[in-house]
Amino acid sequence: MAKTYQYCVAENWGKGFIDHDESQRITFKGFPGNVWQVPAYNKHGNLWIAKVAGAVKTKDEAQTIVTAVVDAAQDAWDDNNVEGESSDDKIERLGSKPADITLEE
Amino acid sequence: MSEYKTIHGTKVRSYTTDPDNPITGQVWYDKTNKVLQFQAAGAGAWATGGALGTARFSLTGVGTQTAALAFGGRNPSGTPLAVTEKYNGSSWTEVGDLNEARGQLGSAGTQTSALAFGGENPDGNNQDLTEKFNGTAWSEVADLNTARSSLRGVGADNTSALAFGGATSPKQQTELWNNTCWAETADLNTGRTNLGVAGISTAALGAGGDTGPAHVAITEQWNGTSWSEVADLNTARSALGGAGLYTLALGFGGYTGPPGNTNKTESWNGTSWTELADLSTTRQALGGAGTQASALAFGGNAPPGTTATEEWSDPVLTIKTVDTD
Repeated sequence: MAKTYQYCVAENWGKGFIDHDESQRITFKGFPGNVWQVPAYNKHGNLWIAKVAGAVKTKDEAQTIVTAVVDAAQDAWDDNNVEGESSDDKIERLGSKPADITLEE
Repeated sequence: MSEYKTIHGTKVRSYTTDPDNPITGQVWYDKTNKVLQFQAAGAGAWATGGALGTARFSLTGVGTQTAALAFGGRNPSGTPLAVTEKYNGSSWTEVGDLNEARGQLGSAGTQTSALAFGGENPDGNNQDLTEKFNGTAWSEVADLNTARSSLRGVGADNTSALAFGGATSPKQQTELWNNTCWAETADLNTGRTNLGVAGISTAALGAGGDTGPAHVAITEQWNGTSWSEVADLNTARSALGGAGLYTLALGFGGYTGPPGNTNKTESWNGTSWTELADLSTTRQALGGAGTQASALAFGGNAPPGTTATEEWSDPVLTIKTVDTD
């Protein structure tokens, strides 16, 4: 099956990391672990990865990075308890438990 | 083209550099690169902005895309914060802390005239505390009548504000601030926490939120006297960011319930919501500021708590080259 997306790791430095023109041309999706998804086989996606000096990852490599960050966040959520606090109050305080993320091909 | 011809004539001007403030549709000849160019207006889009100094979620914010204020929230470990930062359109700078650290607080005003109210403090207690910001420092003023967290607020400055919803049964309470004290007024029709909001104290919008059993798409408008239900969001969610006015608003990000966060952006035209381009960083419990055409999204829980800032522009103005092939 042909790939729909490609992945890279790049640290978001803020202003100019993704500009409006780039955002109009292609769809960006950021994931935990500084993993970024852009369209595969796309000139503008390739140019952006080069601009941000992104380290290209396979989908499986990117998934491993994202999963590690999400697992750590889930463990931190499980371990963050206040005596006498109800589950609803915990969600109110911390937000819902971080959900698993599955990257697309 | 007749309008363009009337304004600019039939000759295309030549420039060695791009004109300073071209209008949409303006055409010129780029002498340096020997190409014909024009100013185009494209669909709305998000771009990255300067990162917050402190990663956090359940924060709040006020102001515009180029003059915003972010305050309170929780660090990635869940500890409430007092940190306040101001944004100048490029970067965030820390200014005076809140007197009381808290997450899930409400807010109103501008970068130089803001109000912070309610929230949950480090002891896990709902707060009624209200603080006023003068551009430099926070000072305590009269308390809310009902202590609560996960409420929302709107207001043109720190002299007039509306606080509504929040985590205290039945989650419908609405209070008005007159620069001296809070007074209870007409309740929301649907009690909930963590709405997306826009507007001022006499004309507000509250969308989405968490009723307890569900993350909802319900939208209500405040006319200065009472709330009335209007058209739903396309995507039901809570803990979304909001920007804009009663009739022209933007909602973005949030939590949809399992499987998790959303990056969807919706635009409100006074009658209905329309889905637009997504945030690049999916998150909930983020801050929002600005207008429907020029908004700011900052912080939130991605997870973990993030410093990510994004700037919304609609339309996106870009200089294009005429393709002569």
